[in-house]
Amino acid sequence: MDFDIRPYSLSSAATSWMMLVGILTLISVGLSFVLSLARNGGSGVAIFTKGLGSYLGDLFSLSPGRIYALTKLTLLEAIRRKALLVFVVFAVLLMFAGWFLTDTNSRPELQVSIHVTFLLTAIAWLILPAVIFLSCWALPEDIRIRSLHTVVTKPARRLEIVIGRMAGMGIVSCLVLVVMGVIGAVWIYRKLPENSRSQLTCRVPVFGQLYFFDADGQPAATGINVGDTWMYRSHIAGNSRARAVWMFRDVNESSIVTETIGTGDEAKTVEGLKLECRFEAFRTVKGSEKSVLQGVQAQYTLSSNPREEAFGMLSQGEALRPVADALRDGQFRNGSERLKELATRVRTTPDELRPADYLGLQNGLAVAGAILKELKLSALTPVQEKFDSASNSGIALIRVLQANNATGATDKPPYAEFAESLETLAGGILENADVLHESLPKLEVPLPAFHISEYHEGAAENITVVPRKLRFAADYETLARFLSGIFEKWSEEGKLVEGSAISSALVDSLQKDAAVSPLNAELLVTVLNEQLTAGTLKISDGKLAVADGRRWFAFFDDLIRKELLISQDTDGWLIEKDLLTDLVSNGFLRVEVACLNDQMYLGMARPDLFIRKPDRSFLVGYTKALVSIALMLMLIIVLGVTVSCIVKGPVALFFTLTFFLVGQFFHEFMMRMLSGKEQGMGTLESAVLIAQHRNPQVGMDVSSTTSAVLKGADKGLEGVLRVFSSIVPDFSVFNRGASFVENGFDVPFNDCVVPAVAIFAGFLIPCVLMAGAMLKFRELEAK
Amino acid sequence: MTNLNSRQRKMSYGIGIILLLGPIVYLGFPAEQNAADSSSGGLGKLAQMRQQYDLGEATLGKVDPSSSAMNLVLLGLRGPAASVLHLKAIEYQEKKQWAKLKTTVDSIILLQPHYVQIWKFQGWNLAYNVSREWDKVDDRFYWVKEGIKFLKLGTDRNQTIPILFHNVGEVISSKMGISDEKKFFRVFFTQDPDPKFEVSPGQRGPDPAINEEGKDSYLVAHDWFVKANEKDDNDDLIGVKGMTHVFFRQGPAKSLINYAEMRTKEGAFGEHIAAWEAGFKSWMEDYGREEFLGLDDKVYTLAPSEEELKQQAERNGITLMAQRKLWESNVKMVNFDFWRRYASAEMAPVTLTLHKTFFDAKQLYMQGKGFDRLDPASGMTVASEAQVKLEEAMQRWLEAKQEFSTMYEDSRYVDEALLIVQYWQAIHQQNARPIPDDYPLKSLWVENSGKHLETEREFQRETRGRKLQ
Repeated sequence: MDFDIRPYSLSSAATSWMMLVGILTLISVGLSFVLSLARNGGSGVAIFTKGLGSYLGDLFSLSPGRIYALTKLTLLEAIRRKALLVFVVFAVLLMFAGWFLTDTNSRPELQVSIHVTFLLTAIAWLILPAVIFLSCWALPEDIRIRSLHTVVTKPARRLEIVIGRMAGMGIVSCLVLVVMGVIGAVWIYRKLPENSRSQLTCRVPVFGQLYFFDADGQPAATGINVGDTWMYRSHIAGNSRARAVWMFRDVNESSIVTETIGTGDEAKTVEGLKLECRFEAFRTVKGSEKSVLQGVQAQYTLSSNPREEAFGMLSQGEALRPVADALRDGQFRNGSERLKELATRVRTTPDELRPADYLGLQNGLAVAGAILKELKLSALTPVQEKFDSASNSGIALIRVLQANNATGATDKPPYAEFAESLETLAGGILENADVLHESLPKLEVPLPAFHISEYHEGAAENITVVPRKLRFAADYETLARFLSGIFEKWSEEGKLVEGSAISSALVDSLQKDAAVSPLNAELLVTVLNEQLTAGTLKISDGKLAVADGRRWFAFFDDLIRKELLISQDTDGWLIEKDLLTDLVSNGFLRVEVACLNDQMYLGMARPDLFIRKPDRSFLVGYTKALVSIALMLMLIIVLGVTVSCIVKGPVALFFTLTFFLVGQFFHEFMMRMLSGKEQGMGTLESAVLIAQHRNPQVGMDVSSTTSAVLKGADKGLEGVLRVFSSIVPDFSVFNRGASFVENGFDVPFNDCVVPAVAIFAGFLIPCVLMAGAMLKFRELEAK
Repeated sequence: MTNLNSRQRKMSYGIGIILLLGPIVYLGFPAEQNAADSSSGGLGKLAQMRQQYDLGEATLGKVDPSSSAMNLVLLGLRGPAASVLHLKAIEYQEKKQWAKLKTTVDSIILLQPHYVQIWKFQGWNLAYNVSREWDKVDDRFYWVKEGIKFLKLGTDRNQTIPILFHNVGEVISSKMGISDEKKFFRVFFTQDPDPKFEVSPGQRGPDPAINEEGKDSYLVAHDWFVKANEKDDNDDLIGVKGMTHVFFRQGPAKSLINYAEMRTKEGAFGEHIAAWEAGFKSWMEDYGREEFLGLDDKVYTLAPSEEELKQQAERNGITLMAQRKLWESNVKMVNFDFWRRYASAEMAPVTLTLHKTFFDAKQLYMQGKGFDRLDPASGMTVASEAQVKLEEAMQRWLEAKQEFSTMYEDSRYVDEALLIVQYWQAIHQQNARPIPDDYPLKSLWVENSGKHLETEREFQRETRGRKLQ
C-alpha cells in the first residue's frame, strides 16, 4: 500500500459537523429573514414566520406511504430513462478486458492486483455518469415538462418529493451496483489464471505505531531518507544501533493464530503471533553473492522495556543524553550522578542549556513520573513523586522563560529551585536504585533473522510466526531475573535445602521445572555450593538466603558480572517465556526491527509491519469496497438532487461535477495548501510571478503596497477556499476501501467504512432539509 | 432555378452518383494482393500507394485490434489520454506500484503503437530503472525480461523501424554482459529462475519469450543486431534514425567479439580461438567492408585496401589525401583499429596459452593450493602449485608481449599482468615469505604503481569465498 491508515474519530467528526451545520442553519435562516424583509417590508416578518412554520410542519408530518410511492415512481422513471443501459457497457468491458489484462507470464500477485483494480474502477466509473445525469436532470426535467405539477397538486410535501427522489435513485444505483458486483466477482474468479487464484484473499492486519532509533541509538520520529523522492518510507541503517520500533496495542488471545509451517514430513502446527512485513531494501554496495540471491536480512526483537518507555523522552537534547542513557540502560547509580551534574550546571551556568533543553527535560520528567505511576508499584511511589515534583518545578521555570521570550521581560527564572528539585530526584534515584532496577525489567527476545522478499505481497519469506512459547538465549539481565524469580519461589517452598546443605534434587528440579539445560543446571548448583561454603549464602530456618540480606536478583546479578555463570551449553542459557504473559504489557507489544547487513538499509512505513490475523474471504473485503462505492454514489445523488431543486439541469450537472472532481482529485491538495504544507505563494501572487517570469524564491517585482494588496487579496481567497474545503466532501475516502482490496487487505471497518457512512450521513441530513426548503419556496417554472 | 421537374432532377442526381462512383472506386477500393510477389494491383489506387510507401497500418507492423478499439473509443482524445497515462506511469513508478505501472505502460502503447520513443524509453525504463528498484537478483531479472519483451513487442508493431531491433540487442547485450548482476543474469538467461521454465526436475530452461533456443546472451543479441541491419538495408534510407549509422551497423560484429571475450573470462578455452576468429572475421569482412556516408555525404569504408581507397576518392570527387583523412577520422571514431588488433591478438595461440595458464593458476589459488608444499622425496618445502602456475603465466605474458608489443600496452593486458603479480605476491604473503627482489613482471609492476590499489580491489573481489587449506 502506498498510504497510511488514518484513524477516524467519529465523536470529533460529529462535533465539527454539528458546529458547521448549526452555523450554516443560522446563516440560512438569518439570510432568509433578511431577504423576506427586504422584499416585503414590514409584512416580511409575518411571511417569514408563516413560511418557517409551514416548513417545520411539513418536516414533522412526513408520510412513509407517500415517500414510498414517490420512491417507486422515481425507480420506474429511472428505468424508463435507460439507466440500466450501463449494464451493456459493463458487459462489453468485461468481455474485452481479457485483451488488456490477462498475461499468464505475469506474476500471480501482479495479476490479482491488476484484475481487482480494473473491476472496482470499472464498476465505480461506469455507474457514476448515469447517477450524475439522473440526479441532476430528473427534477428540472420534471418541472420543465410539468409532470412534477401533477405530483405537487397531490397532498405530497415537497420534502417527501425530495426524499422520494433521493431514495428511488439510490435504490436504482444500489441495485445496479449489486448486480455488477456479483457479475464482477464471478468474472474475477473465472478470469484469473489458476496460479493466481490462491492470492485472492483478504489479509486482516493489525497495525501499530512506529518510531525509530537512529544509528546512535537515540529516539527519532523518522528514519533516514536514502534519496527517494517518495517520502512514504524512511530507512534504518544496517549493522548499527538504528532500529524501527512498532508498538502494537490490544494484543491478546484473539491475536494468536494456528499455522502450519513447512511442507511434507517437516510440516508442523504452531500456535503463535503472525507478523508480516513489506519492507523495502536499499543497498549502497552490491553485497555478497549470497545476499544478492537471498536479499537483505532483517531481524525482529520482541521487547518489553519499561525503562525505555519511562526514560526515553529524556534524551531529547544533547545535554540530557548522559542522564537518559544511564537510566535507559538501568544504571541508576550512574544516572543519579549524571543528574547531579546536570543540576549543578543548571544552578551555576543555566544559560549553557537552551530553552528547548529545559522543555525536553521537563517533558521527560513528566513522562517518567506518569509511566512509573501507571506501573502501580508501591515501591516506586517515592521516586515517582520526586519525578513529578521535579517536573512541576520545571513547569514553573519554563513559564518564566516563555514569558520572557514573548514579552521581552527579564524576570529571573527559578533555576535554583529547579536545580534543587533535580538534586532531590537524583538522591531519590540513588536511594531506590535497586528497587528501580528490579521493578523495571527489560526483556528482549531476538527472533531468528530472515531475508526480506521485497514487493512480494504475502510471500512466505515476509511472514514470521512467533510461537506462543519462546525459547531463547537470555542476556545477563534476563538471566539474573529468571534465576532470582525461581529461587525466590523455591526458597519460600523450601525446595532449595536438604538439612544443612543444598538439596541434591536441585539439579533435577532445574531441568524438569525450569527447563534449564543439564550442563547449566549442574554449573549453577556447583556455584551455589561454592557460595555457601564461602559464606555468601546461608541456610537458616530451612531456607537458603543471601548472607548479607541482599535480594536474589542482586546476588545473581553479582555472580553474572563476576562471570561465574558463563553457560556451559553452546546454545547459551536457554529460557522459555510466554509471549502474551511475559512480553505483552497491558495489551502492548513492542517489536524492534533491525537490518543486519552492513552498508544496506531497510525502508519502512507504519503499515509495513503488521500482525496478521486469520484471513477473511476475498468477498468480505470486496463487499466492503462496494459498500463504500455505493455510499459515494448515493452522496452524489443527494448533492445532485439538492442542487437541481433550485437550478436547471445543466447548471446542476456542472455544480455536482465540480464538487465531485474537486472532492475526488483535489481535496488533499486543497488541505495541504490550507495547512501550509504545499510550497508556493497565493493565487494572485503566483499569477503575477508567472506573468513576470519569476519564481517564489526571487519574489514579485512590484512595489511594497502592491505586494501587500496582493497578499491581502490572497488571504481573502484563502478564506474562501477554507470555507469551500469545509463544504466539499472528501471523495477519496470512498476509494480507500478499493485500495485495500487491490493490495490484498481486508477493509478496516472503523477507518474506512465508518468515515464513508459518516460523510454520507453528514451531507444527507442538511441536503434533504435544504432541498425540501428550496423546492417548497421556489416557483415551479422552468425559466 | 432550373426548369427540370422532380423526376428529372432525381434522374440527374442518380446519373451524377453513378458517374462519381467511378473515381471513388478507382481511388478507394481495397487493393488486390498478389500472393506470389506481395505486390498489389487492380482498383484502389490509394490503397496501392499506401502499400507502396509503407503508410498503411498493416505495413508498419502487426495490427493490434485492441489498439484500434481503444483509439476509436476515445473519440479523438488520444493525445490527452496518452498524456494522462504518462503522468500516471511516472506516479506509479515513484510509488512502487509495479502492477499499475505495467498496465499503464501497456495502455500507453495501445494508444500510441507507432511512437518509437515510447517503446525505447519504456523498454529501457523497465529493464534498467524498474529492475534496479527490486532487491533480489531474480526479481531484477524478471523486470529486465519485461523490458526486453516490451521492446520485442515494439518490433512486432513497428517492423520498419530498425532502431527498435537494435535496442533489443543492446539491452540484452548490456544487461547480461556488463551490468553488476551479469554473473547471475548470464546464467538466468539460459536457466531461468522461474520454476515454470523447468524442463525437467532440477533442470531449468530459458524463457522462450526472450531466448527460444537457449543460446548465450551475446549470440541472441547478435541475432537481433543482424535483424536490425537487415531492416536498415530494407528501408531504402541511408542512415538510421536515432543513432549514428557507423555505430549502428557494428552491432553483430561487436557482439561476437564480446561473446569471445566473455567466454575467455569464463574459462571456455576450447572455443576461444574459434570465437575470436568469428569475431575478427565479422569485424573486418562484414563491418569493415560496409559503406558509410561521412561528412558531406562522402562514402567510406573502414577496412579498405589501397585500391578501394582510390576508387572511393574518385567516386567522392576528392583527393586521395582527403579520402584517407576521412577514413582515418572515422576509424578513430569507432576505434576500429583497436578492436582489429585486439581480436587479432586474442586469436593467437600465445594469448590463449597466457589466459589459460592464468585462469588455471586462479583456480588453484581458489581451491586453497596456494600454500607451500612439503616435497615427500626431498623433505623440503617447495613452492605451491598456484605459485608455479603464476610464474608460468608471467612468462607467457612476456612472450605474448613480444609478439604483440603495441597491443600489450593496452590496459586490458597490463591489468592482467598486474593481477598475476598481485596473486603471486599474495601467495608469498600467506606463506610468510618475502617478495623476491626480482621476478619477471617486476618492471611492469613498478611502472604502474598508480594501479596497485585498483588491482588489489580486483583481487579481493575475485578471491572472496576462497577455500583455505
